[in-house]
Amino acid sequence: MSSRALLAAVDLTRRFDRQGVEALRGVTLRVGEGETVGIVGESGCGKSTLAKVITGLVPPSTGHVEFRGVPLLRMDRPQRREFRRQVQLVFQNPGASLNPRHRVADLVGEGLRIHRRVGERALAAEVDRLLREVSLPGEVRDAYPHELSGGERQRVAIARALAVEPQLLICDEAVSSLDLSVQAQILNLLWDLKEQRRLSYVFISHDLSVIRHLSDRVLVMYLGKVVEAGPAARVFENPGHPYTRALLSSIPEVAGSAFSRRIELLGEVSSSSLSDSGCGFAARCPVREDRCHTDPPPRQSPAEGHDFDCIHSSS
Amino acid sequence: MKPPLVDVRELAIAFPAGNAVDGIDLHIEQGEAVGLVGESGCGKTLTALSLLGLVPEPGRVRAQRLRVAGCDLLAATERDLHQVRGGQVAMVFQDPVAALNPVIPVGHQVAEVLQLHGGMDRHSARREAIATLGRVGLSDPERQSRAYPSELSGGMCQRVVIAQALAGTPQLLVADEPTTALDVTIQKQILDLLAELRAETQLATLMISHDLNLVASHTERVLVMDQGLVVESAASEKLFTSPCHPYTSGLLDCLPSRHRPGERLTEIPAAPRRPQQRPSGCRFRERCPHAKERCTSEEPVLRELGKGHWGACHFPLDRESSS
Repeated sequence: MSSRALLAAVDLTRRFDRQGVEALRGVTLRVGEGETVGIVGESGCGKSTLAKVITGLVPPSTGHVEFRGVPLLRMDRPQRREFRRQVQLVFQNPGASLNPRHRVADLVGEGLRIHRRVGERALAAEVDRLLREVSLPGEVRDAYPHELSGGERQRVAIARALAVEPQLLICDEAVSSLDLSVQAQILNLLWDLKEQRRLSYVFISHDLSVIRHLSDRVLVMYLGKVVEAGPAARVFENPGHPYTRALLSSIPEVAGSAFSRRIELLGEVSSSSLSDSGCGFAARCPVREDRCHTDPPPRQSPAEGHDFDCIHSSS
Repeated sequence: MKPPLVDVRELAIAFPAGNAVDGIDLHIEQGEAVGLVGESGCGKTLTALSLLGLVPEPGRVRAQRLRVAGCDLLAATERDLHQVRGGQVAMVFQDPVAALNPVIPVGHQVAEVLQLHGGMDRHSARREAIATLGRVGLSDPERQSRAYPSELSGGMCQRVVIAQALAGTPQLLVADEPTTALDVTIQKQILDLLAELRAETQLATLMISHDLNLVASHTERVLVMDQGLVVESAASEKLFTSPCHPYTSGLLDCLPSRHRPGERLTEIPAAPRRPQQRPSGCRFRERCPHAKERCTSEEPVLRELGKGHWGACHFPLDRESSS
């Protein structure tokens, strides 16, 4: 565990009234310096909304976000600007997140111009240095995004994020659309950057093996709530919540899986099954009881820093 | 002996930029589940499309033999192809929402297949469509059949697409990344459904994916493709535990699940070449950790290295040390 919190979010909720959706229902999150927090969950669990709320792109309905101890809402303009420099996002699809009409050099240099007021000559040198850092050949500086492969584009997106020397990188499914061999390259790159630049990450993915590989701590989300949180090793070895166990068992594997017994989930994620009082997962839970629908699941803490919300005990 | 359901020899698919598929053999027996694995651009989807006569322009298909369910696709007329598509061969695509017509209720889209290929009238087609939707696990199929694709979840839409595929009582189901767009828990439900249907109906399946784990655990035999060629082919478990081609072994080694958390992943350096820039000799040699001089001068051919285990490599990996 690291000592100081870089980013802290307390009891976040976010409603989208027009759609009648409650995307976040009381999420608390803490990212320490140099720490990687992994967030897993299926579509609709609120993980991308969480990314938007903690980067200030979407305000929370209730709750608040602090960066280095300063609440986002109380930041004055220079502080806010500094926050936007220190927290950067890398998205799933670099084909969509990079402006197709800009050349790589402009894409990577844009942040430099805005945040660091670098002169034109220094800027070109800095862009070259950034491209080297993400292992791209210098020639790509004049290319347009469509001329690059998916892996190269994602490297550009990462270089663009790194340009302004952030402290925290939020990766929303950043390797999900890449081929396996490229995925491994990008994961290694992210790992190296973490070591070299002492970066913190919030790594959002539906892929448990990726989350396990990178994360110090893991949050498992289901329908807007964190149902289990704890040190990655602990959560993956001793999952407490039935949903976490089901997720782990759904990783297809041929030889010698620790979870040879597959856990079947009933049906699909549906917010219509939500009741105010009971457990949000009850409708799909393989071990539910009648009281799960009516009683709120109690918080259990089987170990230091490891919590999950369920009426059943973990073993 | 009965000829195989799919009998493809020396299939090549040419584009102006080069051969996307460059001479591959593919055999699938009745009821068999075969996986086709490789990275983007390796030619796996084109190979599948060629089984339905759907290779897009300006692609040109050449082959010594291209027979599916008794139909010679090289000589087939457009009319024959209409019979094959959705009839003997059905396809399930990656994105179910895009595969369905957004302005027609899903029940109609299944019934349409029954009218076209089953020769049913509207009423019986409708009844049968509802039954088929029930078979693929859509709850309350009577009501759901009137829903539009936008009213259903991705997993439900994929079930509808599978129902559509089944409606033509095909002998071969081609599934191109059938679960890539779906959540992990739903992915498992869909794969289990496909396995059940296969057991019930003796439906042969060609499953295409970049996900080695997934393919190996749901097929009997796997072909690994790289840059238009099959580089290795073996029984799924064998391929997984003792791959002979460095490419296959590289794909397996770069999976995070094969490493301790935080351990550096084994990379396959660089990326596959475009067709016009392929190197001489072995196409994988620039990315291969074991490449030697012979790999530059001589292109390896697919040869049988063990029983039913084929590989295209001059220096196949040692079985014992590779796992």
